[in-house]
Amino acid sequence: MSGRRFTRWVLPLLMLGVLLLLLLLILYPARAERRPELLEMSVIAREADGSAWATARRGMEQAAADLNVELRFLYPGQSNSAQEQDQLLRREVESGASAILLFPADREALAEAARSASARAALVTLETDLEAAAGYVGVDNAALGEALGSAALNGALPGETVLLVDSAPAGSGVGERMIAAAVLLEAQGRQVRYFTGTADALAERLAGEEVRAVIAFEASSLERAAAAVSRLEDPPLLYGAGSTAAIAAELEQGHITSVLAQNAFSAGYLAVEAAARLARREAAEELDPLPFFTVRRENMYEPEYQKLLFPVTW
Amino acid sequence: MARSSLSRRWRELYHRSSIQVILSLFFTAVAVVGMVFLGLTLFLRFSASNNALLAENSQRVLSQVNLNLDARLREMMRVSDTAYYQVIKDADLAEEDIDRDLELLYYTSRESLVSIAVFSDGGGLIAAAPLAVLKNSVSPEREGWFSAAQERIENLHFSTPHVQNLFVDPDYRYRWVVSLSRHVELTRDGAIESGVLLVDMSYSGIEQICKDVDLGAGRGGYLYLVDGAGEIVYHPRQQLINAGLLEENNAAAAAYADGSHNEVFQGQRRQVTVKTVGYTGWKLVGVVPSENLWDNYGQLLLFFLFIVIFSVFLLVLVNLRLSAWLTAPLKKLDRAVKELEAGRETVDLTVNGPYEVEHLSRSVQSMVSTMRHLMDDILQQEEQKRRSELDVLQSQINPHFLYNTLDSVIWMTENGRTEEAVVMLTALARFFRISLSRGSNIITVAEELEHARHYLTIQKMRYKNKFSAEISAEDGVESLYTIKLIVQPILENAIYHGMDYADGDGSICVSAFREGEDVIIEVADNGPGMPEEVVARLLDQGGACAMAGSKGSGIGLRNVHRRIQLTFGREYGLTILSEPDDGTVVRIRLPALDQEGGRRYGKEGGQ
Repeated sequence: MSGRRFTRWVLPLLMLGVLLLLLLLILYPARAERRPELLEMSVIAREADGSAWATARRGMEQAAADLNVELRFLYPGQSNSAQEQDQLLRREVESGASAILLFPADREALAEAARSASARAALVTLETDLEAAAGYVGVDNAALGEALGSAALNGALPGETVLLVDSAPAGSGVGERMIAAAVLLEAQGRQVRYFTGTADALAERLAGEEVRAVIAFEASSLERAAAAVSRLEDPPLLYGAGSTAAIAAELEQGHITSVLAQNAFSAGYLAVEAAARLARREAAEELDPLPFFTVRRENMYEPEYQKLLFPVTW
Repeated sequence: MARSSLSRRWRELYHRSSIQVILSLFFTAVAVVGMVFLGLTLFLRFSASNNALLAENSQRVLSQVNLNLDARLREMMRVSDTAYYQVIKDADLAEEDIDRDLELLYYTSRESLVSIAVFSDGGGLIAAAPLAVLKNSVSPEREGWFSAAQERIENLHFSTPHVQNLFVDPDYRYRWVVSLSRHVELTRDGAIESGVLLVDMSYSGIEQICKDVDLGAGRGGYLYLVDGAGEIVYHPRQQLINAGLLEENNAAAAAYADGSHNEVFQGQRRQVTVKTVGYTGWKLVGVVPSENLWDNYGQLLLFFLFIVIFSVFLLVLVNLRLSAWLTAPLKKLDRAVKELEAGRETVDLTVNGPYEVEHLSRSVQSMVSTMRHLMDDILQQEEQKRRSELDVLQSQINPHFLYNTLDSVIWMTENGRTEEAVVMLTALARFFRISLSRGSNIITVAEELEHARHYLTIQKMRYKNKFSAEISAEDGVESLYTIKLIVQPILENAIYHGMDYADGDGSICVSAFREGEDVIIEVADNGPGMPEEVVARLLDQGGACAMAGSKGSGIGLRNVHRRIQLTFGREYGLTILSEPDDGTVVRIRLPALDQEGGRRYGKEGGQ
């Protein structure tokens, strides 16, 4: 092929071809128009029954819909079983989960599994922070425990007994709340007692023991405590953390004195968002501890608390 | 200054560029300007139409949603009217229990209703369906819907969504509702008293109407509902807003009039369309993020730019080929003219192309043909002129010499020197015979030397042997050819200027010899010679005037010199070597012409 023919015909046609290729590239949908790839995310609960964090789950589902995430909810056979959580965590990592949300039952028991899981997946915890996890979404547990203890100080005079419902291992966020409350109460001269068991057992103990105030540190134990308190003729004051429809009803009926509630929907949404960002290697903002609010019977229908206690459901 | 420089540069570029490049550039420039203008016009038109279309689409969708919402609210109002006019108004509460009627009414619309209740003026529950036990903790008279009904008794009042907490629900269900309340007149024991009728509509009814509304053709548009104060009634991401994870510009939207507006919220440009819902004062707000529109416009603009670049490239290519095709005949003509300029004899000026170019080609051909004829004519005229000049130069010799010789013959005859007269006449006859040479301008060197010998014979007799003369020729030189009558004028000059004052000791020596490819005929005399400046002027054509006044102007020498140069070129001719009191040597340089060469020059001489 002569150089002249190449310059006259082949080169211009080649350049036309390149331009056409660029044109096709332009017509390819922009990145902004494409949804991110589907991300599989496992959620490992602490309790066998997930009703206590139904609102958080709705937040997770909303985030999953927004961020193209497929959620898989896993419940241990027994509540607060760190061993089962360990197994679930390892199994999910082995099965190739890109991101995992975990409600740890015990920091120490899960430390090793969390470390190895973090190396292979984006691990974010709720309720209890873990050193090995890439992120934590939840309240400042010590502050929440202290706030509950402070609330109980109003109901129990120095020397009087405050019963703390021990519903989770000490190495969990719930346990941390309880320890913080106990330290405060004891420092203020209150007698601190602990209880572990069912609602019936609690009712029985309250009936036979002079207890001025009871504190439950998470929703399930608060529901049980409320059920126990409601059976008593002269019930102690009940304080607790969590927000469910049953808790709202007990609060309205006066069985619960006050509740420290966080926005569970927000926690669920933020947890999925943080884990998805980590798994997709996107820039993520550092998460601050979530705020919590004190809700009493008198203010529970104020608009902001109404929205907090009763998530909009269709 | 800069403008004139630019203009000058432009003119330089214009003059340097070929017609093909200029045509290509102008075609492309005009096409590109046209395309860009058309493209931008279409793009702007498209953008405006698209915006208008989106606004129109949003308004249409909002109108449809408004219709549906209106129907749902009307249904609530119908339930309220039915409850009031068919159940409550005609019933005497002291005698009749209206719970059953309300329950029936509730079940006819249970899908959209949460509860129906009638309260006394003091907030006491008179009747309710489906739940009928009021919570101990609630005080209906303190609720907003209650006071609104009592304050404006003629109106129906719609509340913002709230949790219905009036009745004891064993299932702990807290349902979000929109309450419709109105003032009612109750009859008890025949007496009329005031009361409030409450109809709670399920919030999910509003959600069903508003959800999945496609605004902005999949560009992330959505619809929400606010009340007159800007409080959100419905939002597709209400829970995120409640959680503080999302914000909405609902307060500003509540102040907008119906129609489409552009706003910037949290740095995002949005097209907001507002439609007021009847009875309630609520506003449907449709939001289409403008960024999405502009993303698409950006894509479109990029696409348009690439189309332009692509088209420009294609245009340049096509225009180059087109202009090359158009200008090919002109270029061919230009090349042919350049060849003509370079002096080529045969150039093909035939060009096929458009009419104008073919006409131009024919004109150039005709012009070249005319020019060639004119040049031939000029050459012929020049040749004729040269020949005439040669003839004139040649003819300048004879009359002068003839007169003197004949004068000498007469003188000799008168003095009885008949024999000498015969010799002189014989020499003269032979002299002229060679001079004529049957009209030929080219003769052999031998004939030329013979001619010189006869001339010297005559002159020696005239000058009474004041000088001696010798003629010699190298072997082979005599057979070569030369133009005739070139030696005689030099001899004449040597005799007149060198021998005039000689007293028998004058000497003239003529010798012919080869020098390379040339022939030299040398005429040497031992006369008085000439100063250098005279020698320098002798062959100078301008020197003729200067020497006109002196004895012998040297015209003979110049004639010979000019004839030789006219015939053979400027490298040939005379060279004069002379010193005062040391004689003069005149060298004639000629090409060594054989017979063939002599014949050729003879022809060129116009034979």
